[in-house]
Amino acid sequence: MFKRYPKRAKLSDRTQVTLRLMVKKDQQALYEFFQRVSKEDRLFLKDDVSKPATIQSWVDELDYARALPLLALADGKVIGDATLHRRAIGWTRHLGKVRLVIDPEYRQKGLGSLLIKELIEIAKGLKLERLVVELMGSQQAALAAFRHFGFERAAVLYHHVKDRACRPQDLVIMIHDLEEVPEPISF
Amino acid sequence: MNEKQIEDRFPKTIVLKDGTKVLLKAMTHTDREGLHEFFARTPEEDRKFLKHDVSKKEVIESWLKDINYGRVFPLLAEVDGKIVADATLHRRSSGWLKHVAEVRLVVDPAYRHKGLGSHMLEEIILVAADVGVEKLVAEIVAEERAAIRAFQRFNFEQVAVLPGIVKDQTGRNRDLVVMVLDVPTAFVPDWFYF
Repeated sequence: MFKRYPKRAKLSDRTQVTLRLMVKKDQQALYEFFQRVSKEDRLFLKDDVSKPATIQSWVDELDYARALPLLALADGKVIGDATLHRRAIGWTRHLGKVRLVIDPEYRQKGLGSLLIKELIEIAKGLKLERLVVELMGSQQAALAAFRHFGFERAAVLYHHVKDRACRPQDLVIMIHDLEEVPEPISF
Repeated sequence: MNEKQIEDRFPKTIVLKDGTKVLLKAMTHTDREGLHEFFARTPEEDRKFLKHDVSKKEVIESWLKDINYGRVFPLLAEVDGKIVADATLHRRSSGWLKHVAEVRLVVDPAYRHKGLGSHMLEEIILVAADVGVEKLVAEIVAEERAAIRAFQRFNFEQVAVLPGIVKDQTGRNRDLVVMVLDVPTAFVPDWFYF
């Protein structure tokens, strides 16, 4: 299933990137990556990644069945982190939750799209039924990117989350139906 | 939620409409057997709409393994040493949902329609307010009309329906109703705003 990695790809500005699953030795590079990402862009992470202890615990508890982290690397640096979160039991056992963080210097180069496409392929390989992503209403570029790859807005929770300045923002829940088969049209 | 805040509130005895005395207390490691028995009494019809398959021992084991009231606060209701309801408050330590907590509630069928669910919900809302939670979220399978009505009585509002998003214990896809309460409005009657 994960034989497709490592995988090489080119961004729109010809930057060569390597995509592969996170391993324990990525701890320091991952920590540095999150330092480069603004607080606003890592707000949706439920752990405080500004603390080395947080990354340490991710590394210690690395379990691809629970959280599958796909990293994008350029020049030995982590420049993107896309994770697929799953639960083995309970009523969301058929779902995958997507979280995506991109290095600010590598935006608008197609990296986000690349990672979203990879996660969709991984999810299909794992026979998941749907992918879910939660975004802030103000994340226009990310909303557009996910929409482009087949995610649809399922709900908007008014003023549900808080941004960096503690201002309330809408939470948008987008869902991608991986099993969707076009219905035969009959009259 | 720290030990002190819990000790201030619980244990506590309440009296239901039919006169039954109920002890409300925070869950501890000693409740393993009681929880097994409680969930075994929960009818399959209700269990299938719960987030986790509570008939599995490992599910309850995982709850007891890392009891951390700051992350998950489990409130139990006991009658004669028997658990008859379980309400939990789930919080996050960081991020954009730090001010939001999730509430889950299960009541023994024999103790429904006696106001126990409402009592539990009220306690959970008070705890949430105590620890600075601003919004409470409840996720309920759409078929659970009675539960949805109970939450509405505390001014929980239905903010979204996610069609077919969850799978019940039998493997059938169900609609999920997302309800949100602005904690400060929990005990304010509707007419207050007019």
